[in-house]
Amino acid sequence: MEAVSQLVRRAQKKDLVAFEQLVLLYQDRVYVLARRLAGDPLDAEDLAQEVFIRAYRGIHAFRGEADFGTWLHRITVNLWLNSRRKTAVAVISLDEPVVTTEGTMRREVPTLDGEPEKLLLDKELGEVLQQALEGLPKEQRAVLVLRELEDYTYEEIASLLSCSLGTVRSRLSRAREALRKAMTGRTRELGVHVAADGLACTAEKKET
Amino acid sequence: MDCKEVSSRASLWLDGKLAAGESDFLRHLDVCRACAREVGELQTILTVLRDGRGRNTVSAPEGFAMRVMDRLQAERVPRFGRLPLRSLALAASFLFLLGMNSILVGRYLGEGSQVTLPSGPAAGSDQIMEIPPASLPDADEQPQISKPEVFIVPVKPAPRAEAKPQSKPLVEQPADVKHPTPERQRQVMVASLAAVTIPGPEVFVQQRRVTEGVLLKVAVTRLDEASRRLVEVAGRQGLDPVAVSEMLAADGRLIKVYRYEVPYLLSSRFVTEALNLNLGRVLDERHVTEDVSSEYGQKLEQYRQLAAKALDARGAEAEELYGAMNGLIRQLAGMHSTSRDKKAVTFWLES
Repeated sequence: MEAVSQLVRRAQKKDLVAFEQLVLLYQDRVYVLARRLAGDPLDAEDLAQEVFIRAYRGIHAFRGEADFGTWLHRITVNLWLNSRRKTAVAVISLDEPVVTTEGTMRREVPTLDGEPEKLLLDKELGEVLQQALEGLPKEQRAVLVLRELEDYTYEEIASLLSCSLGTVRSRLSRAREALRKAMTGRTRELGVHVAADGLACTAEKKET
Repeated sequence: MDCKEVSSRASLWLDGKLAAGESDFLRHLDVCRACAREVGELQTILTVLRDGRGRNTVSAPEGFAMRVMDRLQAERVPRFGRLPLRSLALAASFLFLLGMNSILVGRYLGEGSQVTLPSGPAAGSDQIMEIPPASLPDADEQPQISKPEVFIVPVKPAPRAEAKPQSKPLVEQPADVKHPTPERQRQVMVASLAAVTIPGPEVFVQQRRVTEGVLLKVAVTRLDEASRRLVEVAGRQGLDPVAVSEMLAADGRLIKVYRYEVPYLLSSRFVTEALNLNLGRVLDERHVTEDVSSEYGQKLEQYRQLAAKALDARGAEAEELYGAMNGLIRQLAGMHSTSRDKKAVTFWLES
């Protein structure tokens, strides 16, 4: 496999073979972000495909000042923010069956060490978190996904969204606070509560 | 620091970005239970969110890259339909359709020319980069490579593979092919291959198949103008090109190649008339004779082996195989279509 910069240079000369190698190299990274933003697998694929189509058309504009993957993420998040399509679920449900040519099977979940109740709790909390994220405005969701799930720095997020550091700070702060409020409201309904010292659940919940 | 300020700074503090004022912030948490609880909740939520990262990682769906490349390819190369980009044999078939071998093309491009083949593993210096034929007429008017009447014996998959029950009857492709399953892709590919038939070896290999051709290399000043006049004069004689290609050499020269298949009796007149157009300076005139019988036999055998393998293949492997088969079929069709009473006349126009 050639160096990415070499492939980019060839793709800039409209070499589709080189660009295909770039697609293969970066498809997972782009798809994961698309999925986290768009939620629905089909919407995510549409978004990710569109990202690569635009990337190919605009590849002459890529000057190598950022990592190529980050550049693709920039296209991804901006395309998504500008799309009018409503968004669904931001986190993949582990219960969603996987459809293959051999039929339908359960998604495999890595086994974690720990007590079953703790696992159950994590799972429930994950679902609640998913719903809470869903309810946030697009701008807030984007900034949360980039920071918490993609692990971008404030500076990188500012560059990805073409906004100032101050805007990133305040948007992230508001998004986190909104998420916290949504979470505490929902978890109380479930009998699970989020505490400062970690996860806890009420006695009644544990027995069921 | 009051509760409101603490709330607005909690996010920064959690990211370790509250250098100035951190002690004030912590002092407030020590004395305000409500704020301490809120910051703690936030911390827990973010931890759970980040912990879920690893578990929720997904890969791009199967065939994703192929669908992207198909879309790009469709925008870009209308000439020969939508050939699969990864078709390994496509590049070679291209050269063949142009009536020249790769060594000759390398020589024509000039010493040390570094160019790239449209796809596949290319050999050494004889590489060409195909570029979109922007100034050519509509795809509808383009000559088809595979004229059904020239194909004699339909080739089914190799006999040993025929017994396999997987070769299902082909069904009509539904309107929604945006996210085809691997099985669907396979059926579509089988369908497109089934539409092209090529002569069997017993018909072909037993006879000598000799292609005669003339290759004219002309340096022109205006490529579009020269191409237009060439096509015009050919059209007046009822000739359409069987293949047209544009290439870009690494040194920036734009090259356009037209291949005509002309009845022997007409060929010398056609060449003379074309040269009388004074398209440009004739750099080279070359007469080529090529016996392609054994090459045809080899390629046919190769095709049959791939066909046998493809019946069992799935996913990316199947894509590769069908891509390669498509390329081979086109090469075979190209070899076959030059019948013995016709001469290949190829114009290499470069600016």
